Amino acid sequence: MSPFLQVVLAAIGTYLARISFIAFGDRFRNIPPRAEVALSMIPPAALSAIAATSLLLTNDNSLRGLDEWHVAAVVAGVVAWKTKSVTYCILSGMAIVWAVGV
Amino acid sequence: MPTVSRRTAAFAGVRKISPFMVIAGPFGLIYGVTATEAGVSNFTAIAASFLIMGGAAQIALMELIGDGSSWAVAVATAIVINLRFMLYSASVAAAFADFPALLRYPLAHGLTDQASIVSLQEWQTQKDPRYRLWFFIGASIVFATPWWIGTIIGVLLGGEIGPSWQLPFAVPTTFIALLVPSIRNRPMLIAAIIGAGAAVGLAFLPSGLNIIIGALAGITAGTIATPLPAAEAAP
Repeated sequence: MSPFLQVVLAAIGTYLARISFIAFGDRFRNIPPRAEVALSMIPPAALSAIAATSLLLTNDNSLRGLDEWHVAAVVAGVVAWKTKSVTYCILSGMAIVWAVGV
Repeated sequence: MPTVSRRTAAFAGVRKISPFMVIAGPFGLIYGVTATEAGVSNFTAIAASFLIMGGAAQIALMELIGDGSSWAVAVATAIVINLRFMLYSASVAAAFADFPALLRYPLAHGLTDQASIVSLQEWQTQKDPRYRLWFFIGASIVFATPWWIGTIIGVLLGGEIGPSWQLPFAVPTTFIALLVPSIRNRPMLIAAIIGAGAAVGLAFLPSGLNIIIGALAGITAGTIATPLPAAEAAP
């Protein structure tokens, strides 16, 4: 199959994932409190799963050795927490990988 | 209720997403280089950034195509990595229900990690559907622009970008910057810890599947840890 067709198939699958719950529309207006709590847990749970795997695993899911990334990640995390600034978080993280990694 | 103009709302979305736009450009560059090295045509490489709009999945797809994997494995891997968008779809569904039905379908395509999380944070305090709609339009469409531009530059430059640029670190920094403000109470912290631990612990699963199962474990843990009636239920 041509690479372009593979892109199109992946795009269709991705769009179906994005539209999945949105397509239910109005049924999401009055949901039970327990379900509302579960929805509020999605951002912290999903984001930390992605952040942790990108820091600790390689692209083929084998373990990644400790290096300047992990130092920079801790600093970026603390900066984000203390300053509440996305910009400072990103700048401090990138500054450390550049300074230590070169 | 005082109504805010569309422009004010859209501009607020652009402003909130702008730090992530700085990262989206380099990330597009990485993807563009990966796609070129996989040997796909420039057209296919660039079209993917418009049609899929998910960096990690696109990089995996191109690497698999470059390795000569079967199309079924390549496509399935990309889709599994993007299954997390179902979680974002559920998170924003209540707010999207107030948007005009015809707009929901095209706007769903703009549901990236960054645009969904930044919008969810803003929508905590902004309840006006019109404001929410225009905020999301600003955050999602404008955010994608540097991603597209980065892709095109990466495809054209090809292998001239060296590893010393440390561009791949842009990925974890983005997610750290999104994650930290999303932890607002102790159950959410538990959700984050369990989500991370489970995703890494399940590394033997195909890439992407460990993330979604890890996230579901974190969501379950955080929900159990929340006492009912919810603390926020009081008016």
